Amino acid sequence: MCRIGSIKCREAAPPSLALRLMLPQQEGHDNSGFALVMQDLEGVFGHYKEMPLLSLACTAQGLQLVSDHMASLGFVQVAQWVPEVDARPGLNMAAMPRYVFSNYDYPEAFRRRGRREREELLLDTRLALRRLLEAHDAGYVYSFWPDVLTLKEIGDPADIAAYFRLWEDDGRLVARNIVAQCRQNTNYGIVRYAAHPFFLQGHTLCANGENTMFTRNREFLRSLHRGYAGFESDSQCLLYTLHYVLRELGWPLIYYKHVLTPLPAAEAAGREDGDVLGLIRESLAQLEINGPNAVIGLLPDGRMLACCDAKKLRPLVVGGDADMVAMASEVCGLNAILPQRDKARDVYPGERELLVVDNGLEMQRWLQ
Amino acid sequence: MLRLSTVHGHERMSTRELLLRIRSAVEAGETEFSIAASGQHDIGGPLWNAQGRTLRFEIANPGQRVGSMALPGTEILVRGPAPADVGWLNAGGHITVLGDAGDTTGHCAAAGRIHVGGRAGARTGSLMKHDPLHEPPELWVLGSVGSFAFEFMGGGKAVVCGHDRASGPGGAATLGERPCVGMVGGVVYVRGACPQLPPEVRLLPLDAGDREWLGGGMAGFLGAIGRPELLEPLGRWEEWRKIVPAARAGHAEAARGARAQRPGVREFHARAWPEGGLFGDVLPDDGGVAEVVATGPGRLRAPWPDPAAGKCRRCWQCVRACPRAALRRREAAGTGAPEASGAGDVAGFPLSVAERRCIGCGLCAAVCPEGIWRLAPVELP
Amino acid sequence: MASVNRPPVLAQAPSVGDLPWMVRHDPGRCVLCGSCVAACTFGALEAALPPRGAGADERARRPQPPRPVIVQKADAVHACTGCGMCEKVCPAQAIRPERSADNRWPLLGRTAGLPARRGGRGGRSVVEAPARERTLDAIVIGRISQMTDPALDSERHTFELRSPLGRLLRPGELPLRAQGGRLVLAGETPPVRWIYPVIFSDMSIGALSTRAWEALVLAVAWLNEECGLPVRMSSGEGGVPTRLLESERLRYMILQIASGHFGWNRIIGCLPRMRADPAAVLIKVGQGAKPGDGGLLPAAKVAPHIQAIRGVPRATLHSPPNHQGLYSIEEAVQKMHLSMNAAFGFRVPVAVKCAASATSVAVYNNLLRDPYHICGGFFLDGMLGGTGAAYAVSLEHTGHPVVSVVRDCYRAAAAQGLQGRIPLWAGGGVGMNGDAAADAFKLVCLGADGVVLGRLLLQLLGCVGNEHGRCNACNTGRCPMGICTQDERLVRRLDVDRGAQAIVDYMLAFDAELRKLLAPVGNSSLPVGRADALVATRRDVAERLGIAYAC
Repeated sequence: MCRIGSIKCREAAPPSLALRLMLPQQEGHDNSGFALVMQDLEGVFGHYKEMPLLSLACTAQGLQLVSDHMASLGFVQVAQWVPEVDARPGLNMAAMPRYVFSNYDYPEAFRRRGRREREELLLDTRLALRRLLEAHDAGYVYSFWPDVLTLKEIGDPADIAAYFRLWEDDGRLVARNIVAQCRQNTNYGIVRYAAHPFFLQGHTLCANGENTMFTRNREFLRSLHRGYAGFESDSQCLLYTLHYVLRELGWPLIYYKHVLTPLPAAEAAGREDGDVLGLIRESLAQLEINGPNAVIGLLPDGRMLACCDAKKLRPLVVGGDADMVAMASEVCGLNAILPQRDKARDVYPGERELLVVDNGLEMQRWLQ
Repeated sequence: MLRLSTVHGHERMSTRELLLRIRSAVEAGETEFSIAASGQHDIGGPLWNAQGRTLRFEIANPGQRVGSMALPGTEILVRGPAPADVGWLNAGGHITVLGDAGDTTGHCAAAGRIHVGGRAGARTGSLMKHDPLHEPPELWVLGSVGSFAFEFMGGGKAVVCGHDRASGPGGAATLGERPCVGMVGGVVYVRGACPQLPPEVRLLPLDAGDREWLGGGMAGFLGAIGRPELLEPLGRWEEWRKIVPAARAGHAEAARGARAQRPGVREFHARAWPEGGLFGDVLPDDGGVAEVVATGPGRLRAPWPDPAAGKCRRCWQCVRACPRAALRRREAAGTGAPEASGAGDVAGFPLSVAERRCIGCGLCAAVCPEGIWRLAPVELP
Repeated sequence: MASVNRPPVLAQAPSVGDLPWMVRHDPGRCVLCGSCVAACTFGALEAALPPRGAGADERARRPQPPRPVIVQKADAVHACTGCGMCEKVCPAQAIRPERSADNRWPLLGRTAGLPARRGGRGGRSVVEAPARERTLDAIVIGRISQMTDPALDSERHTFELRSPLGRLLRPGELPLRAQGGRLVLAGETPPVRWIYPVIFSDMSIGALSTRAWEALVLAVAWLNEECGLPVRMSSGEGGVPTRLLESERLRYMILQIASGHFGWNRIIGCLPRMRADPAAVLIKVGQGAKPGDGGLLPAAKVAPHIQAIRGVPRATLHSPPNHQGLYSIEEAVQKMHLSMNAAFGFRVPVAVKCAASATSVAVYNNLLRDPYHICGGFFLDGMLGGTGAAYAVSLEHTGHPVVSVVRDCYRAAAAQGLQGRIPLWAGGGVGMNGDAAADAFKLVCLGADGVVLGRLLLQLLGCVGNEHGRCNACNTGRCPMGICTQDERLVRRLDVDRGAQAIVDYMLAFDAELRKLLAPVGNSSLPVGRADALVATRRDVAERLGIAYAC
């Protein structure tokens, strides 16, 4: 069990807002880590929105390996931000030697290529860097995508926040979309890649859940796409399925919910679109999830989604005002950052529901 | 009054620290609490004043299980919504939530009263019970409740007013999907649309006693949540119904009962099967069931006399040995004794065999000193 | 017959102890009702006078009434099968069959130069009781939801126990088009049935009595119509009665075609009058109990109605071990699958059943590559499956256990991302210890979409045969229960309704038990391929199947 949260706002917000969202939910998780994905950045990254941003936590050797590899591919670094950390003693966290966030321009050969082709290059590059760093035990690469930053660390979220000076709100690190959670997310050893949120080609996903169909999901997903490569957490399946349904199959978003938690066959059969739903289920049965889950997703276009498992076993609430919408496992998180919102308009997504917040902060609710 | 604020800057007081401070204040005689919480769990219970005075809590932004295990003499007012498990295992506290309450509100509550001024989440009221030492537990919800509510409810009274039901998909019903599964006790009063209910419960109109009880409690409820103006619209009792268990039987028993009510195969066969069976056109079969030990044409074997073997010496051992009295002396037949068994004479012997009595056991053959009888299979055509 | 002239006993004459079963008779309790002799369908018993002391004057005992005893015939032709009907009908508990520990049956059973034959399950099971543990018994459902995630409640939660039969397209192959925020169907797809994960298997009219076969259909109809449990039944290779072919209930039936093609004359003839499509067509290539051997219907069972339905005279009917004219997988797919798809207008899934074999994975791989989407299921039949009649040597010594084959096929498909495209159905020993739901669940976790039950159904009808050599005389036409016989006197022993009731009751219990297994692992739909839910208590099993070892 963990706690998840996300924020979508008109004016770019700092990570401290996410920390405040998560703070009242503290007893719902085990304080074993902190991770966030920020999208639609301003501050130091505001000028480089088109330039893919590499989020890296590594050793000195790792940094060198990455630099060499990027150079060999022809990527041109255009900006780099190294957070000024507060390495005071006594912090409960496992810091990596280097945290580096770099914007790159595409290799010459790719500058005139189509968007899709460049996106494939970004994925291949990230996967190659991951393999490279793994081979040398030299660090982690979390995302490589324009206008997206990922920060993950193991330890007490408050101490991680202190280390990265996230409470200081100096305006350098701000974004309109933030997805966060406070746990290192594995029941076994510490694996940074297992910490939510997960990222793949513009799709971000964070879940509070257990995927009892993990083995079945994984076996199938592995064959579907080269990018479905990390399975450190059973919830990564939820991200890959999202990516597959939206990007690979090009299906409308509602079908993500139909794939994850198909309607009972008898009910689907009685519907006008029963034939389509039946086919989807037949074809993608291996991606169905069982087990308790609450899911927050962030799409390449900035839309934010929420949905739950078919038995509504994990909590999730969405609320907001004219300038901000937030999602949280518990309503006390919303109350911390949106105390004045109209609480009667809070939405608790049901077991059949898919909820989407667009960039105008309008909320759409689809029933399966 | 003890006033506690739990967040200073970005430092948050832990649940443990908060609860211990409340507890020591209660032990010191404090009875009034105003707590600006930050999601701390379990605020409000189980606590008691040594002199039996009422403990009053006013809480903003609690975490899970506010008022859980609350004892009689505890009154809790939550200003705003509360997350999951409000009044879990409530043992007598009076809990009022002015906003929404999260999932499993009132779960396992066995006494006391919970007032929710908004909606309540999934599995609300599940496993509520009634401890006969107390009045039945009450759970009042102004809005709707989520799916799977009142599962395995064993006692108590729940009221779901269905007021100002959430807009958006699926928000039209007062109760979410699959309510009251396994409900064996208590009552749920509902105003507005209900989804399909499981077979173990019944949906009934209110009777006079129900109206009196609801009417008596409604004003208090609406007063507590600050919505007295709703007394009139919510008091149209014809819009209400109640859900009660169909029988005082466990869910499993009820399910078994439902199964037992299905027609048996024999009845189904008689009602829904083609006349003469699937093979009626090629192999007529009247469906009669034969005993394992069959007689007449059902015999597998029959005794045959063999004239070549010898001559009957009229010792009648075979007649005596026959367990079914199928063998008779021919004289007996000749004397006019009743031979209703349709015995046939055995050619060349002073004996007759009633085939419809004979089972083909061969005892006659075993005892015949002359070896006249042979037991041989009866071949089918 | 009188024992007075007892023939001299010669050393090489068989004694009753040489036979697999010895009938114990207690003359002190016997009331001489004759029921046991009358009931024995095998003619193993007779009444006889016991010999008196040597030299006794026969006339001297004449005044005393003779007192016969029941004795067992000591010849192989009339060997007792242990069916126990004598015990059942005896009013005095004076008689019962007893296993003969020192029998010489493997030798006596092969007389006149003829191979030994029997019915029942395959595997070494007749002479020696199988002491070894089945693979499935070395597997337990060991991944229980404890704190990590909530276990479900088998009574409260909804479960969807449905399995596909038909060819399932890969997501990229689906003819779907996004239109106004919705997907719409823009093309044809292969037929797929979502059915209960149990199929009643492949027992033909002929192998079974009309009553037994009808009881199975009756049970299936009841389960569908009274309980909404979409159980399907394979006809076996012996045709289908016209009345069923022309009824709506044809949709419960999977029409089997085997190498003899028996019964298809009438099935084809009924096509214009069919009111419903059958559930599927099943091409039987082989059978687990006797792989490489075709069907065998002894002449004794070729009754007039069978002669009519099958279009043959009364004679022992062999289905060839092979489909004539199919010499390769490609041909098999083209000729049989395509033709059967075409015959039913491509509206009916066509599946294939093979005996489990070391070659099964190769076959499955070929089927998976079928680009025409005309193979809608792969049925694997393990060596513990049953048969109505087979040569003992095939039963005992040929075949392949089904468990590792299912796992291998699933893993081979998964390695190509093709799992779930052609459903795997597993049979052959499912439920042989009575716990069919547990067997089914374990096979599903290993990769099967569903299971096939056969022998168990007959046992529910009343069959007393077992895996320790009891009865298993289906081949003789002398079935004491009236199940595997066409002798109308024996068929009349079978109460169709009572038999069908036992089957439906078992299936309802099966359904509840399957939920009881799904709930603790936190699944509400069938966890096909979810081998992480299992642990093995034997290292060899764990290693072979790729599941965790636990001790």
